[in-house]
Amino acid sequence: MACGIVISAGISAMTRKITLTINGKKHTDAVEPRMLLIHYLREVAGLTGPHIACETSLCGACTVHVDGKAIKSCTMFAVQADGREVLTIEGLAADGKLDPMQEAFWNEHALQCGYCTPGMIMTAKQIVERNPKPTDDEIRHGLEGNLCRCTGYQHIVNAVRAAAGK
Amino acid sequence: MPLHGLPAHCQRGPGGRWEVNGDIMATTITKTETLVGKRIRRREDPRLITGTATYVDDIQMPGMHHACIVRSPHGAAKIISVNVKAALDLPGVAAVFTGKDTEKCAPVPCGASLPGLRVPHHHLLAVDRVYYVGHPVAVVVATDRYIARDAADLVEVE
Repeated sequence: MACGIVISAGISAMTRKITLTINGKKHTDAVEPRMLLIHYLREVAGLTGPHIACETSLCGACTVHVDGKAIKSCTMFAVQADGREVLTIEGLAADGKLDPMQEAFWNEHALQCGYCTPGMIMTAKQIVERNPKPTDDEIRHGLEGNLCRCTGYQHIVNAVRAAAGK
Repeated sequence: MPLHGLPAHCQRGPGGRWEVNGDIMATTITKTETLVGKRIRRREDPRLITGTATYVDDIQMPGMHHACIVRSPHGAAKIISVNVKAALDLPGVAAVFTGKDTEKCAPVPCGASLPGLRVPHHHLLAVDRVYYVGHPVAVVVATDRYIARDAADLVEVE
């Protein structure tokens, strides 16, 4: 990890160089150590799939996978992702074919405005990876960290159940 | 962006049916292609489930700035002074607005209209007193969100 002083927008700030893989693609950038991973993904890497809603780790809209584990990217600094592999919602259907979880959300009407959906799908994928045949209670427990303000959750649970084992 | 309610985006297609940007609207589907009782998938979902939709927060424009609001930590208090000098001096800060700057703007309207209701005068930003925790006192505009938040911390309110 290289350190340096970078002058940007008239302000000098300590930055660190990080290299990470996002959706299979290598990214190298100089970032402030305090920059959150979600801000890095959205504003530096230009991936606006993961959303910011609460910015305080309550809502789960920013959920991405880091080294295969679902994390809320507003609880992590970009420098902590240095050398790791990040998967965002954009990386799920990178080859043009929808992931079974995405298909299930579409089929089961598990979204309305879609703002929480990227985070929901990333969390749901981890639920079925860990437990290929989850009960409704287990699905609901797994989705506790993700808030949706329009669907009322039942259709989301239906979607996760439908996608499980596929 | 198509505005479905506007005539410019809505016109009759070759078959005389109403179209929005070339797509036949669902309400004009004829009997032979009825959707009643069918399981249909929403047309807007593909972009929502692949993270390719554009929400307002996703828009980045050249020269775009970020704002951060300085809010009251008190439920009710008098404002004696607001000092924005330190915030303005921070490189990257474009402007700091306080209640004095927005005093002349129309007040925030009251949603209820009841006979005899005493409506408090809500300015966009608090002028001489705050009414509640979170009452906006100042707004900082800067080149990025981190600088805006740093500068918001530098606004001194007594």
